[in-house]
Amino acid sequence: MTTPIIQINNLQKRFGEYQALQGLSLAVHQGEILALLGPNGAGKTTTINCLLGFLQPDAGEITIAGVNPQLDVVTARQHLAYIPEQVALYPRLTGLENLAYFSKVASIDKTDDEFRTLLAEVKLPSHAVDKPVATYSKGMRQKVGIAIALAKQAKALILDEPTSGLDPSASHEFSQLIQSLAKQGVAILMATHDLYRAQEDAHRVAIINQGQLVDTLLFEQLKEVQLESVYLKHIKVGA
Amino acid sequence: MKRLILATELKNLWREKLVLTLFLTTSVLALVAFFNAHYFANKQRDVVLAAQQMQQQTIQNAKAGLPERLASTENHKWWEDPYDLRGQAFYLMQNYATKTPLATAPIATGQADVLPYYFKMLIKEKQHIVHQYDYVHPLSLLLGQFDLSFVVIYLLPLLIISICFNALASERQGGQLRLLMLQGGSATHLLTYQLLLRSALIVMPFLLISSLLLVIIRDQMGVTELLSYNLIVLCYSGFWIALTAWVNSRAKSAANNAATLVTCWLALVIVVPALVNTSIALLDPTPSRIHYIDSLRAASDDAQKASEKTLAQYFQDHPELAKNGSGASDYATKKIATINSVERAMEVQDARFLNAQQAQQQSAQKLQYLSPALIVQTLLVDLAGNGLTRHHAFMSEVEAHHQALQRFFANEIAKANQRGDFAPCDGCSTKPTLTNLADIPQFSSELATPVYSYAPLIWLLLLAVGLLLIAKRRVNKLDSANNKEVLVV
Repeated sequence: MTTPIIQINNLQKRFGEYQALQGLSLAVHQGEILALLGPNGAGKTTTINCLLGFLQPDAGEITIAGVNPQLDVVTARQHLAYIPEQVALYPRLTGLENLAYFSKVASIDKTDDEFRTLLAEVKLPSHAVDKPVATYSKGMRQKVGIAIALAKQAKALILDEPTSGLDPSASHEFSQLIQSLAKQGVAILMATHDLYRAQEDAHRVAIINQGQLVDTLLFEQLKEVQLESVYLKHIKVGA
Repeated sequence: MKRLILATELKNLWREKLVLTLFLTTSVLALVAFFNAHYFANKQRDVVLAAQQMQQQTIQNAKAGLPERLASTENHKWWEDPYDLRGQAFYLMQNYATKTPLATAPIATGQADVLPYYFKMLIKEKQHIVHQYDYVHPLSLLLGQFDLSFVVIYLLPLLIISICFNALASERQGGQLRLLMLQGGSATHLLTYQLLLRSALIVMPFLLISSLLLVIIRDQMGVTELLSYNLIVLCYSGFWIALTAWVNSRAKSAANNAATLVTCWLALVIVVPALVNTSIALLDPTPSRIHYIDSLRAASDDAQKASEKTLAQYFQDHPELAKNGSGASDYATKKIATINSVERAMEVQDARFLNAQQAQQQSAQKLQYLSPALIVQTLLVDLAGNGLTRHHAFMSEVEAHHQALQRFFANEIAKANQRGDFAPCDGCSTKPTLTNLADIPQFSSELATPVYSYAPLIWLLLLAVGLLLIAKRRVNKLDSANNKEVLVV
């Protein structure tokens, strides 16, 4: 087993009276896709925000490629790429301009042609490349988000509900893209409610409820079980 | 990074059609404001020039007509005779005290639309000349003149607010800030460059156009004045940019920022100046003008009733003017004596007005620090030469000129009296007693270039720097790890 790119140990986070995370521990290795499942309020987004360095955990430790974001957020973020449910791009800029802007902010110096190639790699239709993002579908915006991650050559990719609202075809395309990224060695943590996509794409599935890890299913197990029934069993127990 | 953020911001604004709209707006504002005030200043300058020309023309005409007058044997009525000291002194004199608008006048009209800028001088009580002008026409009370200072003080902050209120907040609400920070970008840089670019789009075209117009269209526009104008506008804009930075650094929604900034604008530009005006009027009320006029009438009546006593007092004060052997009691001498008496009687009243004005001005100097708008209004009006300081200097010159005229005519009339020129003999033609009108003292103004204190401007800069420091500390927090304010609104 390789050294985890994303390592979470005994993470705890409280918002007032509400205990969002209760000693959560996870690891995502190089080239691995870990699907993080859980009902609303289970702590998925809180975990992601701690990973991104936007929330400080009350206890526990996180490392991204060996760097603790609480101690060195700048370096930790250099290893990270993040695609939220709605990729936040500048609507009046084109896909190419958005990619170029966010990449250059990360000091990635590429030519326009290289950026176009990246957009082609993520299968953004060529006719859309020079159109404002305001005219894009959600799937097209996701592709620009992935292109930004590709350009950054991040070691870890964090996805928050990436396939929510995508049509089956777009969802399939997206799935292919993240699998391709995983093959390139990127560690992918995907928080999702999409059980089908989790079962199809993930190498491992972690189910959390009330801020705790309640089960982990390996790739081999995923082929043998009905993920939905396992998931529902854990959630009902938790409730 | 700077160039990248600026270029992207400019592209965003351009595609929103904002750049063009703002450029057009500020350009039109600069043009309209400049020409509005320029034409007003030119109208005043034309009146001043016309008065000065009329004065010179009258002197030339009198010189040309003198031989004919000397040859004339007609009996001239002295009050219609331009060559009679008394006629000139009390009725015919074309003598003007004028305040010429400066090249900087279009910057701020100030009270130039209500304060007098020329006086037609005659030998009469100065109270009839210099205390007859404090009317304000109702329209000017609404907004004042639409000049460059109006645009600077009222409209520039609003335009800055309108384009800057959502700087950073828009990215925060839209989620771009999170992505930007994950890419290694900085909220501090983003906010700084957004504010600089956006406010530059408002302020620079305005400053450029108004400065160009001042240089090209106004004669004798000095470099110092131009630099001062630019400095004042930049400092004031800087204050509003700093205030916007402070408000935006609180990581609230764009709507919250807009509401806060508009409230600040209302407070600093409208409410505080209004309260300051009220306070000044309450602290040092201006004496009643009606009471003043009543006192003037009473003093005139008293002086006329006791004309013999007044005349005696006058000769007691000016023994050199008394006719040897007999008390001169001609109309002119009596009138001058009466004028002197009335002026003396009114000294207390005049002092009350002057003291109230000075007290109000001192209060205004102190209280202007409460509002950047007041500071800039004072500075721009002074720079334009339409401020109270220059006006008071002008009024002092007018009074001095009035005294010089009075002395001249009193002396000349007394001498003519002593020579018997007004009544040479029964049936004789009256002699010309004033053959060269150029001998009459002429108004010469030595109003220096207005001197303005930069202390209020330093205060404004200190306020701006203070706000920027607070804003920087807050936005730096956004840049640091574990700041959930980046996440949600």
